[in-house]
Amino acid sequence: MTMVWQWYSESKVRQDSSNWAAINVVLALSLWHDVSKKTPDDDRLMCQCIRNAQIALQASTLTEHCLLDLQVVLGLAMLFQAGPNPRPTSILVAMAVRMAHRLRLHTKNQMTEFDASTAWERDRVFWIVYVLDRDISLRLRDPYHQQDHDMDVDLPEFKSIDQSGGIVFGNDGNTWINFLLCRIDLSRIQAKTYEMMFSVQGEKLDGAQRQAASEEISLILREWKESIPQQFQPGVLSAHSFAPAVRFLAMLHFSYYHCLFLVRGIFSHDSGWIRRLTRYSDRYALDHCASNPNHEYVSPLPPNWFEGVHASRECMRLFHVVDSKDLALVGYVCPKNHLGLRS
Amino acid sequence: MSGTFAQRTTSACEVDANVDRNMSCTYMSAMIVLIANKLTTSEHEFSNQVEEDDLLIDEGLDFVDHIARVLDDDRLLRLCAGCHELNARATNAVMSSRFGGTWKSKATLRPWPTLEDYYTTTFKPAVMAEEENGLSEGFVRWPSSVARLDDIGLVELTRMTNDGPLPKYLGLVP
Repeated sequence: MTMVWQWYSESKVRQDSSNWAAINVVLALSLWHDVSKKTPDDDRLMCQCIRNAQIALQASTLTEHCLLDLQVVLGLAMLFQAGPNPRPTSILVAMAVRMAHRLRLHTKNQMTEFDASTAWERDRVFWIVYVLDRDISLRLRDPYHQQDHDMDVDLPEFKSIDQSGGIVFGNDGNTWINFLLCRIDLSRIQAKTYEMMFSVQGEKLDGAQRQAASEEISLILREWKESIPQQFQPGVLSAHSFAPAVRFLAMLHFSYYHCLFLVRGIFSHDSGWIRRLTRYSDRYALDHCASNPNHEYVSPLPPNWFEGVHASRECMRLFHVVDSKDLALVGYVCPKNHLGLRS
Repeated sequence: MSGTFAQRTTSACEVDANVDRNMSCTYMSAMIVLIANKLTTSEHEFSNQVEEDDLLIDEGLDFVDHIARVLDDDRLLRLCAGCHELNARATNAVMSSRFGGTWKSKATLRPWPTLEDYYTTTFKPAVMAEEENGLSEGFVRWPSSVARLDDIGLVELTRMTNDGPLPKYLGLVP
């Protein structure tokens, strides 16, 4: 609000396109994340805000950029992430990683130059870049940009209630989960999944190697899920009414399911999986005659099948708590163009 | 001017449905896994959650049907039909497992626009067409309301002045 007030009251501030972009991105995000029914005017306003932010961003990125510019890029990435086409998100996240590197966010060497508050903000911005980078990488099966060996930023800790960004509190208001840390761990698994199964090398694996990779990642995913306190597990969330803080946890769990289904080869747009299923189902088809009684039906079930079944039940139950008007969450739940992912 | 958010201004319902369709991926994966579990019931111990699974599957099918109808998207309609058929076959598999023999219910089965066909005949030509036209993957799979940065970026850049009138794009109220 201070920034908005300054923008309208001080002409000097209006020279700063970063501020203008930030105001517009925050307005667009607030509209997008508002679960109340949107009017056409809301839509037009959000559209205008996005255009304004992009135009201002063009101006600011031509000069030396600042942390605020990076935050604007991240805000735009989040907006596009929930839309039908995630491609702009991919480009924006790549841009954000480069900007983070320019600002030296990936190293703590320069942290001493900043006051505690700014250092904390830089730290958080870096980790959001890190999470988005790996999330979009797995969803589009494109390489991610930030390598673990080329960074030394400390993992986010929950030190005080004054710096509770990234912390989600339970219904009792006392218990909490370090959501950001939890999400970072999942991001690492997403990156490992990409590396082991969908990178250029990963796609060259033979059946047995691919199965071994699947087992290894599934085990890591299982450990990750078990590390989440019971209160924040999907089964418990499904049993409660939807609260604003819970939507972040729902996002977290849907990202986990997405990763698990990919790793297990039971993703709805994996054509090999669908082919095995449909061929197996032929025997139960009305028009299927016994022309080939000796035909062998190969089981379509992958190893550890019931893990996938259990996860599917959880996933569909968790969907009950999603507010259908929460387009930011609904749009996030699923990869945007997986209708046409490589098979 | 194209772009998702611009399109929402003219047809919020259509774009909301687009977003819903997007969501169908993880959700639909879960639904197909539960259908597959029914279909392969003879291969594993009979689940005592079969009734709950049926409820979840029915909800999922209704959800995907709804999106397909709102969008009037042929590919999605075919996918829905494929899921319905797979579920009908899975129901037959459960009945066969319970009562023996090969159960086939005429009432539940529809013409079979196979899921497999859906992938081989619908997507691959689309992918090939994209590649031939030099378009990025995913481009032709979505309606023209797909957001693209370059579309939105075409808006005229208005120069800001130090003390002059506020730039055009300052207008927050459309």
